[in-house]
Amino acid sequence: MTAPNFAPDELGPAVLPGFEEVSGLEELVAETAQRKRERSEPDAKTVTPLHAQPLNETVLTGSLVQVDGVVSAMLEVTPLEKESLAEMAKGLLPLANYYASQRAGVTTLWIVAGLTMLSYAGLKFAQVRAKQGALHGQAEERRTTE
Amino acid sequence: MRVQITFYERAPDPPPGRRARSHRLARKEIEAPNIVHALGYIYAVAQRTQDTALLERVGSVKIDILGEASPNDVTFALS
Repeated sequence: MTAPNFAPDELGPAVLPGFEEVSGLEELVAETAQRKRERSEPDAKTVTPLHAQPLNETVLTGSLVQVDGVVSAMLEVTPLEKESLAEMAKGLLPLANYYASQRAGVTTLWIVAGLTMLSYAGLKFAQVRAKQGALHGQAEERRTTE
Repeated sequence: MRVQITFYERAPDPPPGRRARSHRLARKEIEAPNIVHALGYIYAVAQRTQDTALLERVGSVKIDILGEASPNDVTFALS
């Protein structure tokens, strides 16, 4: 786009009136950028602060039981007892609640969830190893009887 | 009628097989009695622009009619 190099009256009367207040492209670019910034900045009035909520032991235990059920079915092992999962949840709760009260944020929750899953994976791995060991023992037994 | 005028930057040549993507430079909504008024607005903006390098960067200008428009709004005769 090049600057017009003809006199305004050459365009005829139709395009002339009403443009006294029109600004140049520099101002228009700045104005557009400002509007874009305003749209992207969150409105302080509408943002609700994130309050730390203490985690419920029953909910955490229930979630672990659900996950255990699914993973046990996938790995074809016996699900863990509810008591041991409740113990696991009880052990994780103080740490989870400490982080939730100190640093209320999604990152903290993800860290806590990660820790829970890590301890759960450890328990499951032990179960699978035990099952493999038992199968191996059975096979050995069969071989010796033959 | 309500009209939205958008100034786009001249897009660099895209790689083969790709469509050119032009960057939006500026956008303004104005009340225009007809399409000629919108053209006049674009002309006025260009005329008031001191930065010729910025003006050179403009590759295209799009006029969007917001809402409904009658045939009289969008047609005009050149004499």
